[in-house]
Amino acid sequence: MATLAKKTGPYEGPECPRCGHLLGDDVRRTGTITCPYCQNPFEATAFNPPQRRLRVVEVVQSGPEGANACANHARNTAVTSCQRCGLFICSLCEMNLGTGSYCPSCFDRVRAEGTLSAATTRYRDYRSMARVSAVAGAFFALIFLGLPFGLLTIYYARKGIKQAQSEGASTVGVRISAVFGVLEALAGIATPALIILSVTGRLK
Amino acid sequence: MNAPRTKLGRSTQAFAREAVYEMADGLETESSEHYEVIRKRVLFEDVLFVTYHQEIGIWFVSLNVLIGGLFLFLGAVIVNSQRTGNMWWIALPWVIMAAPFLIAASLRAILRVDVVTTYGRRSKAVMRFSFRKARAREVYGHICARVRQAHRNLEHEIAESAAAEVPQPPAAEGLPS
Repeated sequence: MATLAKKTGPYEGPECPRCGHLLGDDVRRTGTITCPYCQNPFEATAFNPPQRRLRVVEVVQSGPEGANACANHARNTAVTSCQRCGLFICSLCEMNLGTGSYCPSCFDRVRAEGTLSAATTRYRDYRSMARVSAVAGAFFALIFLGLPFGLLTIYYARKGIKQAQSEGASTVGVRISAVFGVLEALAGIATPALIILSVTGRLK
Repeated sequence: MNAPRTKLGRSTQAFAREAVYEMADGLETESSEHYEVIRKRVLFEDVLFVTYHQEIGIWFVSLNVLIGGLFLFLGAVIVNSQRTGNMWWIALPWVIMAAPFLIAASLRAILRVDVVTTYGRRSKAVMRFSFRKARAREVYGHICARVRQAHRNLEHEIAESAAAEVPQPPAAEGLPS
């Protein structure tokens, strides 16, 4: 009998790609599957990933003189120290990001601060912001707002270029936005200047 | 500098955009929410289910037919209200405006969109291929192969660590051979 549960809220596990209902273990298999809820077929490959076992060495096993105890688990032997605070941590506490190991509290902090790119899950897309600002500035330049929008575009473009370079992505699009930003800023300066000059009669 | 990655595909819907990249240890998805990008990973070691299916996308077709139909309707009303002159020249701009929407809806209904979905333990990655059918198949096969390889490596790693934990007999030193 197929296990069915209505999907609500965030991701909870494998679901029907057509209707989004959660699929139980008994439904998940390799081959063509017909969803028990929406009755629509789809092709699938099921996997049963092996569970990674964490080996935790206790201080009793390794001997007190040969090892330091974990700061959070006094019975466990420390395998490394936190790169940020230097705390001794065991393999249960270790958060290895490839660039270094962190203790759970430091991991939470660097993740919240966004200082570690590998732990960043949410960031501002400055390239899109530069693009939108450049397009908006082109329209607002008609009503003498080219300067603020131009400067804003240059600011976002500068950040966008850095972001693209750090990701190894192309910077062509954001550079075009920057050029538009410069032109808008110049137009924002030139237009009022021309009006003032023409009003004062200096422009002939 | 972020880890190197290659773009596998993307999923574009009315209110959601998602780009999927392949990394050394899994798939990375980047979805846009206003001006913020949300990054998630589906590790190959954690993949439970990979699916492949074709869908029409009823909203896409309906909306395009509706807009195309609206232009044709307006054209028909205007043509109907005219009593003199060549009717075709009056109708032509409206037909031209309606054509892209109707062509898009027809193409979608005929070709359908291929969807490859990878479900992990904690997150999923969705890719949609409107025209490149062979590429969709290739990506599906590639992901399955990478997942199998990752699971084999993990099994091997677990077996090795289990073997290391088994206490070995003491070395036979000084014993006659």
